[in-house]
Amino acid sequence: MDMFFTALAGLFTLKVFPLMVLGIIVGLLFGSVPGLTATMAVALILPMTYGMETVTGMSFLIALYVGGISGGLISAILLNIPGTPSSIATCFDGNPMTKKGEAGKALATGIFASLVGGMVGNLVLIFLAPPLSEFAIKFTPFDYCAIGCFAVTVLASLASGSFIKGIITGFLGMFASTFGMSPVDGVLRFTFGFESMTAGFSFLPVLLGVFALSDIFKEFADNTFRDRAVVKVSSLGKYTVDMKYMAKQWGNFLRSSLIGTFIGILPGIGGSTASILAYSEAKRASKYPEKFGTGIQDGLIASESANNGMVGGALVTLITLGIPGDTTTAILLGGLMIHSVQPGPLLMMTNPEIIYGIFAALFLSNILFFVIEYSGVRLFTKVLNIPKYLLFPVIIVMCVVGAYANNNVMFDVYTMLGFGFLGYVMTRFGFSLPCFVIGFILGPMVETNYQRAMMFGDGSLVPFVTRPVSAFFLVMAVLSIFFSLRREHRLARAAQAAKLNDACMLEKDV
Amino acid sequence: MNRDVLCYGTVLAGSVFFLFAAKDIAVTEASLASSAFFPRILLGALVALSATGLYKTVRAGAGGKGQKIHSPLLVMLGLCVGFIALLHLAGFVIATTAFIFTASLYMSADYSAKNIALMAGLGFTIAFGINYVFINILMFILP
Repeated sequence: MDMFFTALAGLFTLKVFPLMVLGIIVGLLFGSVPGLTATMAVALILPMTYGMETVTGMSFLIALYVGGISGGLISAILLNIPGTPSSIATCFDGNPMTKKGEAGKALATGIFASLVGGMVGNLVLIFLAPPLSEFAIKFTPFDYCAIGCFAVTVLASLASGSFIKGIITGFLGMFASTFGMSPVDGVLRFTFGFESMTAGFSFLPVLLGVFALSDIFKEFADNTFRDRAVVKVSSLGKYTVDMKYMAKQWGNFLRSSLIGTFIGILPGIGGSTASILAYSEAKRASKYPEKFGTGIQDGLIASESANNGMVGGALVTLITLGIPGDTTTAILLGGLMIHSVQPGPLLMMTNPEIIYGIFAALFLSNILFFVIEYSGVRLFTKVLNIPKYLLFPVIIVMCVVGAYANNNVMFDVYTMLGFGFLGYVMTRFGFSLPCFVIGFILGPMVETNYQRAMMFGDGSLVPFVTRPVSAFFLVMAVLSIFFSLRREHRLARAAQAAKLNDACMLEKDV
Repeated sequence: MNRDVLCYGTVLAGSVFFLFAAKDIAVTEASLASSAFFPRILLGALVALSATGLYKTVRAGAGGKGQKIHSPLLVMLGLCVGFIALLHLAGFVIATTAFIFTASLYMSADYSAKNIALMAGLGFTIAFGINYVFINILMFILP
């Protein structure tokens, strides 16, 4: 814990603290405006951290991440539109509370629940990451390769409506990472004679395209870019947290925060799943489940504790294995790599100051967001009124600047534009973008470890099944495929039976 | 056309194309450890999965209708391409001013003289501001 407190003290400098405050404010702004997300905020700001020290840059990005996730509740409660996808379940009870004239109470409860969830996630991160790193240090390339395969199958089975589409998206992401020079022996692949393709597609332009630009393209395709929300700040009502009620909800807080943290640990699942799962569990465990959805604080607590708890969980796998827990941690991974830091179990031994810096930054960000959002909520509600015609062109310019700053080549700008359009098309076809991006990140890890494993094992595949860790993860991967296909088969059969039933009823009526 | 048929068909056609392109990858190691193995196995899996998806969709007659692309998206795509092209010709400040002015004017759909002046001023201020912050404070090279 000494290292944690030393790292925490290191954040209270004139160089880092104001940046973290700025990060929280910008994150809250991005989180509260529908159409702008925490992931977009981190991706856009990432290029600005090039010149910063690693801990300073990471603290800034983590503050943005926490602010972005926490800001989503404002529009979810006031407009019934989640500011970020992770606030989707906040709409279920938050907006009915607004309709009952309890918007202030809903906002205060949501902010408080976010603080509790964030702190639980932070504690799990602090206590789980070091022993997990110690265990993971013994992993061989066989194990890493198997973990990568497991991550893709879990992602495909949980993150998408259709398993085939999910796994196709993950493989497409992995395939996109194979363009250019191969990671082990430097062989050129799919360059088609273009010199600029030698280095392949860089990480940041792909992320900016897929997460920032494709969202904007979607707004244009749906013709929603002229929609404008109008929120009156005076209509918030009483703005307080009922501490007596909160104390009675400790079980809901703990369960939802832990669900969020656990979902965060699973690669690529994201906050929307965490908040929906926590909401349905809170409803199941409640003495009055029929009141859920009518505007009660319990549902709001479940959703907000879970999505903020997810942040700590998502950082666990990033720090210990180098596998991002969600799309925003995927960008944080890029941020670490930009600073020549390779996340993984060795990082805890080689650069403990960075790891404890991240722990401390998450802790401080949770406190800062609570203070800033709680005291400035009336200001953040005004942000909802900013028209999109002022925001979107500036975001596109920032995307271009960010993509170019990566390597100072225009090819990265074209890559960003191309992947932006590809991301939009994929969304239209029902493909999951997080699956694609995590596949893109896991691709080089799986390939490099696979080739190393082949070298260590003299070209034999047998160690994959004889080594306990790799065998365990491969069995888990097969099981996740099996259960996903079985679930889909059952759903298809149920849908067919319902169709048949409807046809019979219609025939009877006739 | 059926959305899922189009989606799986595109993936299938693309995978077959790249599978042929993968023939050109130089093989320096034994086949299982070569740099050609990983993309080839991925493409093989993509061909198999998309063919399965296509077969299942056609057999079940499932999948939603293909969605029409609205003209605002095409306008925005055109503006983005024009902006990137103009960066080469006119430099960052002029290209960005022109882009922000045109895009925000189109999005606001208010073509009054007052709004045109406002958007032009806004475009220049933002372009100049970004240019100043990135070059003088963050020490970046801008396109």
